[in-house]
Amino acid sequence: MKRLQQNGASVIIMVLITFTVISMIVGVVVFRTLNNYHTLVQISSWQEALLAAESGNDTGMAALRATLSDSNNAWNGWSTADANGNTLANSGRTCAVSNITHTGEGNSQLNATVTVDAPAQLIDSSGRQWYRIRATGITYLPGNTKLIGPDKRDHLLRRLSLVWDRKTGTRVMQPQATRLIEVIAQPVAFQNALVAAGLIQLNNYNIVIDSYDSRDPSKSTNGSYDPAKFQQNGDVATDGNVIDAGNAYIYGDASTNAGAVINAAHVTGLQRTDFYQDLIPVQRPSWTVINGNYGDIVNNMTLVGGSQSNPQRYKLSSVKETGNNVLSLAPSAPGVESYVEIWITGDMNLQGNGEIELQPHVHAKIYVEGNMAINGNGFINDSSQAPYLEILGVHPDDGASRSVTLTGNGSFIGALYAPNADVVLSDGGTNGTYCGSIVAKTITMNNHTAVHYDEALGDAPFLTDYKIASWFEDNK
Amino acid sequence: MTHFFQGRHAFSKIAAFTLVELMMTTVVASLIIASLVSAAIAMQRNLAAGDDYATAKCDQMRVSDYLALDLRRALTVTSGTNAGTLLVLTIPDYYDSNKQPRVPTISNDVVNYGSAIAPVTVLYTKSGSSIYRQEGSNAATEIASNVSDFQISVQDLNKVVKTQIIFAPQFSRPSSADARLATTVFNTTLLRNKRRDRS
Repeated sequence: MKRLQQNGASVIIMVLITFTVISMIVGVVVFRTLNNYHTLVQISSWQEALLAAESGNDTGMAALRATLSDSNNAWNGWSTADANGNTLANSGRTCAVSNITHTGEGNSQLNATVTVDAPAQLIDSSGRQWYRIRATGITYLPGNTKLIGPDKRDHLLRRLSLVWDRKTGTRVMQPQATRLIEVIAQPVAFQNALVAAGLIQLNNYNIVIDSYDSRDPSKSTNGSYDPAKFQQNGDVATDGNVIDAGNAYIYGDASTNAGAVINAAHVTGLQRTDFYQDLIPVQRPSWTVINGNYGDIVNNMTLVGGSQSNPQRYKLSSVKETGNNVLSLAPSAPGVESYVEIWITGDMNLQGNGEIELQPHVHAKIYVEGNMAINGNGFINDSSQAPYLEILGVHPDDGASRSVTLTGNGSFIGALYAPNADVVLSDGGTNGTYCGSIVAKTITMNNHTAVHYDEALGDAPFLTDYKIASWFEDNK
Repeated sequence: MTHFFQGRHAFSKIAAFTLVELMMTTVVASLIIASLVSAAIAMQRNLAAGDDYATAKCDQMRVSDYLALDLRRALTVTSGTNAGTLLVLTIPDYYDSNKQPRVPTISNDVVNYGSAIAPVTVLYTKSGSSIYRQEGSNAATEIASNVSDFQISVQDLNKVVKTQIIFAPQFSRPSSADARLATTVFNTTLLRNKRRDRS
C-alpha cells in the first residue's frame, strides 16, 4: 500500500507539470496571436481614420462651395464656437460629421470633426480670401484594448491615442486612431477658355482658340488681345465624353471626362481624359436692397454704378434693345471705378444697332434668367477688359436649358458662366470674336469664330468654385 | 489457506502487468508520445510561420503606409539616382521650430509653409535587405526588413506614383522566385499637391 501511494503522488506531479507546460505553450500562442491581431486591427483602424478625415475635408469643401450657390444655408449645422464655447479664431466654423458606421470585424465606426477658417495670411495678391480646412478623422480600436503592437517602428508611423489624446493631451473616452488633414481651398474663377458640361463642337477648321493676358503688356496690347502676342493657354474641357475639335486651332489642352477628342489635328496642347468640374448652379440673387424694378428695357436708359462695397443693384424684367437704343452702364462719376449688378428675370436680346454699353471704369455683374441673343456689337465693353464683365445664367426652376447665341461680325469681351445654357457662337460674317471665357452646358462654334481666353480671368473676383490648392497630413 | 490466498490476492494487485502488457503499454505510450511530439513540433512551426507571416505583413503595410503618407503630401517626387537611394521627395515645411503647425502664406497662387524654396526632403534608401526613411535632418530609421527588391514608376504626367516592393519570405521552403513574387506589395498614390486641375 505504501508503494501504491508513492506512485499516485508521482502521477499528480506529472499531471501538474504537463498541465503547466501545456498552459505555458497555450499562453505563448494566445499572447502572440493577440499581439498580431491587435497590430492588424490598429493598422486597419488607422487607415480608416484617413477616410474619415477625407470625409471631413469633403464636408468643408462642400460648405465652401455652397456659399457660392446658397449662401444663406451654406453653414447650417456649423458652429462658430469650439466645444468650450469660445469663439473660433479667424472667423472659424466647426462641425462634427455624422457618424459613419459599417459592419465587419475590427473598427466599425468613423467620426470626423472639421474646422474651416480664414487666416489673414491666406489673402492673395488679388484680395481673395483662401480658406484653411482642418479635418480630424477618428476611429475606435476594437475591444477597447489599450495594448500596443510589439514593433516600435509602427509607433512612429501610426500614433494612436490609447489613453491620452496625442494632440490635445486630454484623456480619451476610448482608445482611438486619429488622423488630421489640412487642406487649403483656393477660390477660382475662370480657368479655361471653354468648359462645358456636355458636348463641345467646333464646326470649322478656321476656328481659333488661344489666350492672352490683359494684365501683361508682353501678352496683350493696351489690355486687348493682340494676335502677335497670343498665348497657348486656351484650354478646352468638358465633363462629357466628346470634344469634336473640327480640326480647329486649339492653342491649349483639350480635356474630356474619360472620353475622346476627335478631329484634333490642330490641338497644340495635351489631350487628357481625366477632367471633371462640378459646375455649381447660379441661384437668383437674394438682395435685400434693390434700386427698383425697371420692367422691360426697350429704349435708351442709363444705370449708374456704386462703390465696390456698395454696388448699385437693379432688377429688370427683360432687355430688348433694337434700332439705335442703348442701355448704358455708367460710373458714379467720370473716371471712378464703379460697380453695378443687374438681375434680368427674362431674356436679354440685343439686335440691330441696339446694345448694352459698359462704359469705362464700370464693373458689371449681370444675372440673366432667360435666353440671351447678342448680335454684332450688341454688348460693348469700353474698357476692353474681360474681368470687367461677368454674365451669369441663373439656374432655371424647371431645369430646362436656356440658349445663348452670339452672332454677327462683332466682338464680345467678358466672362459667361451659364451651366444650364446651350451656347452657340455662330458668326454670320468673317470676324466674330469672343475675348474672355465661357462655361456652359454645351458649346458650339461655327464659321470663323474665335475665342481668346483672358488669363486675367483666372484671378478675377468672379468666384465660380473652390479647389484644393494644398494637402497635408499632420502626422506628429 | 485463507491467509495464503489473501496474500496472493494482495500481491497480484501490486504486480498486475505481465511482460506482454508492459511491452504493449510501452509501444502505445511511445506512439502517443511520438504523436504528441510531432504535433507539438508542427504547432510550433505553424506558430512560427504565422508569426513570420504577420511580421512580414506588418512590414509590408508599414512601408506601404509610409510611402502613401509621404507621396500624398509630396511637392516633388524623384526616383533614386543610385543603387542605395530609392526615392527622394519633398514635403511642405509644415512645422515651425517649436514643432507647431505653421499658418501658410500665398505667393503667386502657390501655398507655402515656411520658406517657399526650402521644403523638407524625405529620403528612402535601401541598405542590405532593409529600407530606411529619413525626414529632413532627422536620423534615418528602418521601416522594413527582408526586402528583396524595390521599384518605382512615376506616371500620368508626374501626378501618380506606383511603387512595387518584393519581400524575401522568411518562412518559405524553398524560397523560390514564385514565393518571393507572391509577397509583392503594390502602392498607387495620387500626388494630392499635383492635382490635375493645377498647372
